[in-house]
Amino acid sequence: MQRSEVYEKVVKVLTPHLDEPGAAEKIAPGAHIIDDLGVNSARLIDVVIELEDAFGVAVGDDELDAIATIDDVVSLVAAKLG
Amino acid sequence: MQRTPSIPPALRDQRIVARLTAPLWLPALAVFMRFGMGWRIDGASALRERFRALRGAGAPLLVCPNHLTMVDSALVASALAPARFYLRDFAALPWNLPERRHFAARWWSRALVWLLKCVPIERGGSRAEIGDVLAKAGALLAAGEVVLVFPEGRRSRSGRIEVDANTWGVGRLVGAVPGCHVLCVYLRGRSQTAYGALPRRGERFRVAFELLEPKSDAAGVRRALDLSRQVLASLAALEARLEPSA
Repeated sequence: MQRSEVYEKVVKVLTPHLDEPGAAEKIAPGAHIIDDLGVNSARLIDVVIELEDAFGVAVGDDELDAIATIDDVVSLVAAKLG
Repeated sequence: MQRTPSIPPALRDQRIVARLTAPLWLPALAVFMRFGMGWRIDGASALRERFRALRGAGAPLLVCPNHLTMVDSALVASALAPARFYLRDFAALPWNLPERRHFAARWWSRALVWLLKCVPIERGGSRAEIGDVLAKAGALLAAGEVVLVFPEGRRSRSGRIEVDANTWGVGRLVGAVPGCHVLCVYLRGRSQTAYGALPRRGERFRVAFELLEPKSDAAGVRRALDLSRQVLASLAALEARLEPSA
């Protein structure tokens, strides 16, 4: 799967979890998921579980800690998909 | 022979100072709670007996209580054992992971919680920082220190166990420490109907408990969630037993 396809799919999973007004407009590869998009860490778990289902991958605890931006998610998923 | 892991260096000094000063603050805290606030815990003898046995068994022990007030960790610690027990077995006095914004916002509160075996955490904060605090807590458990974590992650807004709380810290901790036992403790004052800052003066508490060794075949984040939910389910069952009309 192309990196751009992974990015689009990640955004599709993430978007329904954005509660803050205007957060959807801030979506960009470098956007910080917690600080910029307002997804709290508990909500991030939901996002990660949906991503696991969407891509058929498993995310470890330490890998979750390393996620800060959308780009981080894309890189993680892309690496797992090989 | 297997060597017992040691306390993380970052917490070693904290523990030494806490231990040295404990003969001053532990009895004072116990007297304040018992006679200053008039709090009494009914039916704690079975819990104390089990806690003593668990300390003797030596397995990593995580205490997971329900959460209604800002002083629950102190109340649960006093339900588990009297101050004199902790003075003999200081590792049994639970480490606590309080919310930084409530308990460590000013220098004096930071100093106080440091002395009281606390490692502050920012709820909803950066994953890296939360991961670091949980790693410290895991190392403490492996080193034979008792750790107390509220599996709901915050005081229950409904006043009841929030079984669907999407928290996973407890599960992550349990999953990271082989052989970790979880002592679920449900403590509630007779007049407590909702969450708040402090129980009322003269409150009488009831307590119920269950020992778990949660297991899960899932992996990663799902495993942590699964383990956390087993703990929450146990607390909900204790609540139903203690408060059948709830």
